Amino acid sequence: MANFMFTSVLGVFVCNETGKIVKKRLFSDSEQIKYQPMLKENKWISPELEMIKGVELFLGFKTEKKEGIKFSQDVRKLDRIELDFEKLRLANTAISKQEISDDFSEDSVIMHAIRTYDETERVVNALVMRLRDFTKQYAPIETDKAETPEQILKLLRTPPNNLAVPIKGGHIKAFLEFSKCITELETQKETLEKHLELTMKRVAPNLLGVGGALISARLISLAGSLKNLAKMTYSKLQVLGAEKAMFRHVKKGSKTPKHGIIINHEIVASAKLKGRAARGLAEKLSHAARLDYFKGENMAEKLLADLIEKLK
Amino acid sequence: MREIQTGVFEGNRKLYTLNKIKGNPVYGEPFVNQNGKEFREWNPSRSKLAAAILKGMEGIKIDEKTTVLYLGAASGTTVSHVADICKWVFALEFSVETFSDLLLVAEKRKNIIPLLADATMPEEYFHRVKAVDFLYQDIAQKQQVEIFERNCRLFLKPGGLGFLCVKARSIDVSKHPKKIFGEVKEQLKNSFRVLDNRTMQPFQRDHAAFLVQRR
Repeated sequence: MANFMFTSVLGVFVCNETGKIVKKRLFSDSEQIKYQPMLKENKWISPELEMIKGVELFLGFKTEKKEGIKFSQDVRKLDRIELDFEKLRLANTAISKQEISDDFSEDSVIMHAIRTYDETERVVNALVMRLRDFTKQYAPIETDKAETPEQILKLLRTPPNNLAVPIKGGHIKAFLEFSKCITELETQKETLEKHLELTMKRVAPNLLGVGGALISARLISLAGSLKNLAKMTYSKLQVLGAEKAMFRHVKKGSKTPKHGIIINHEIVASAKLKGRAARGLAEKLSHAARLDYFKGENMAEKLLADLIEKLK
Repeated sequence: MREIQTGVFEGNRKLYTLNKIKGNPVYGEPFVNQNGKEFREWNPSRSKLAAAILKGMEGIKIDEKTTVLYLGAASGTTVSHVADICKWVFALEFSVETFSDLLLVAEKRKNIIPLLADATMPEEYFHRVKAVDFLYQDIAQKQQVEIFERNCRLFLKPGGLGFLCVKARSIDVSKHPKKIFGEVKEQLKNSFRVLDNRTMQPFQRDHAAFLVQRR
């Protein structure tokens, strides 16, 4: 008589040919969670080995073979084993919840932080543009001269003495009152950037050192995770953020893009041969991402120095 | 309100399922009350199974005894309707973000068994499910037909039904969808009896549904 073994999230079962359970070892709630990673990778677990005697067939997959044990994935056998669905539901829900919390990693925080940062910047710019339209009415020359948001806000705070158009009433004051939210957004943006930097220092010190907080965070965000960034070839990393140009190249055969968002890095921005600098930087960033993902040593300074030497 | 197949109702050219958890919408769908029963509207633009039924696909047999394996459950929109009809549904989803939505749906609807797993790797969840009567797959993957075949071989009982949504755009963007659907049908004929196939126009673009039976 051929007995077969089947391991479910509920426990290890030994069944006879008709699928009747002859021996079982049920998992406790904590064991369900504990054994899940090994079962997922199809490794033998100790309760299975304790019960393996007299078993000829294993229903399922294992990466490691065992003497005298055959494998089968016969759906008829799987069908015959009687398992309680309500228990399956509880166990699977608990395991899934555990896996969700295991999945949380700090690179997701980095991604949310940088997306929020970029979004805030976009909003601030849009609002300042609005205010600029207003200040231009009474101070056209000064507004055209103003370059930073701060200078526009200053025009609201202390309007020039001779206005081009006399604006009476509390109009300017009303806009000044509103502009406080822009100042607040700017402050909060900086606080967020500091937090981002602190997180990067822990999670991705090499990337932080080579690429700076903002660019490195954007790279992680575009790649989807630090893991994805580490797995990426450096030539892919080089054109992250230039997807539109890249697809235009693939589809229509235009020139390849030479840099994506790493163009904002000062080494690339200030280089004469931007393509060459981008290539070099991408290589170092890729190296840094791998060091960070595999928790290697911090050698950001050396990477940066190498790059500068190379580009001389 | 007319029952056009077990658990699926039609009225005013709209589809409904009988709400198992009264007063509880899943995605903001409207309710219709009749004879003390509450029906949830089933939107064919959001659910490919509803689209297939409205397009006249016959033989989708799910009833109160059926167990279903649902691959690509997403936030649980279609799953909740399937759960209204069937006994148990294993709902599989890979993306962590959408899975949290699914968990919330499964918290209320106690016959949904949520699994955070990758449908392309059935050996990773072989120990978490049982053999099923109905296998539903809606995943946007290049290898979606092979994945379907593999999961059916492992989990679908002989004689059981499989429902495959094919998204032509994720198999090959450059090919004409019609051509892809033809190829898929040929491929499915090798291992299944193909009972019915429909395109999803106008509810879903470049999608087709296949209903197959395991030999």
